[in-house]
Amino acid sequence: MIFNKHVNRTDEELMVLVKNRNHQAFSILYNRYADRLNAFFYRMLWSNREMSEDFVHDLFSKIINKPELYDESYMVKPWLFRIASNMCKNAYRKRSFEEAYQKAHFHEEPITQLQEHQLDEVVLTDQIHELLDEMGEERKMLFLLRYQQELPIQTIAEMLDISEGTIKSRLFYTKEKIRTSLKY
Amino acid sequence: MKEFEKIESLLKTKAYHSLTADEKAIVDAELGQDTYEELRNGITQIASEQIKVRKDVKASLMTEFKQQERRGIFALIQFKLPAYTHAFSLAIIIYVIFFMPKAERVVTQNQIVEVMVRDTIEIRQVDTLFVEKVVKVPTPVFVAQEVESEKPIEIKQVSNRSISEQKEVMDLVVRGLD
Repeated sequence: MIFNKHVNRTDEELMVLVKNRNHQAFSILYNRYADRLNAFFYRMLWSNREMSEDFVHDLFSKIINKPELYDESYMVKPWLFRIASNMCKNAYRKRSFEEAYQKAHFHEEPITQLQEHQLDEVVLTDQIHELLDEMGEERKMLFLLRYQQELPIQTIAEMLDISEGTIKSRLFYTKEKIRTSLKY
Repeated sequence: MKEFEKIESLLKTKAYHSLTADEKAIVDAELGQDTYEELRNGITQIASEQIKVRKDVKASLMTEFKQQERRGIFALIQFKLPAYTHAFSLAIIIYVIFFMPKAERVVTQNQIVEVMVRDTIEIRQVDTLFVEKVVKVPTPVFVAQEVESEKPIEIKQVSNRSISEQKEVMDLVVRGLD
């Protein structure tokens, strides 16, 4: 393996190098975040492995094509997850549009490929998976950013432009959800 | 919301059975043992989760990055060079550096020039000619004064010579006077 001289640099330093078209810096940044982002996308996007990998690819492709969008005063990790959460929001919007379209045109709900995939996933489904699916887009995102990516509440608040109190109360709701789901 | 922070930190660090009596009291009041354990399982599971991305995803991104990099370099000339042209341009550079005949520098006799070791200098003899200065003085132009002529001389035939012959004689006389 070729020794990479940038390996000890911070994410922010790496991102500056990426802006200056340094492919080694890009490679390190990718290694640091690809799997984490994939886990986030996987949980957010209905446990669809293929879709999550596509999203990881698209996110890093955006960085390649428009690295100038990165503001050097911003931390890289929250920046990446902000892009990721925006991509998920778009995916949810697209999906709800597709569902509405299918309902309007077919008057019934045929099993889409995605739903089929979800059915396959049921076998592998764990309780946390069920829990996340019941949460809805926004709460799921908060839960994953907080507990999967371990971002501080303050950072999440800045990222999603909502107050810390709101985040706490929404996460608190998750606990309530678990409590009620356990009753049944 | 203080309970939230407390419970959250407990969830990340302690299993239910290792909670102190005070902590258990808070947890029981807010969640209950089952919810706590369920939530803790979920959180620990999800926190350790790292779903590997296929290797070809990175490979395709690296290719994309390098293409973009190359596009940046050749953006000014706006065309892509195939591989053999790189070798050709390298050959030209080597020729220019090592084999190109050295340029001659012509220096005049009294000129002081900084000389590089590799330079070939040719010094040409330059003679100086001393030429007297020619001063052009404007030549005066004499303009004859117009004098009112006297009464024209009447030529009368006083001899046997014709008038034309007499005129010739007169001209000779006038020339003789000059």
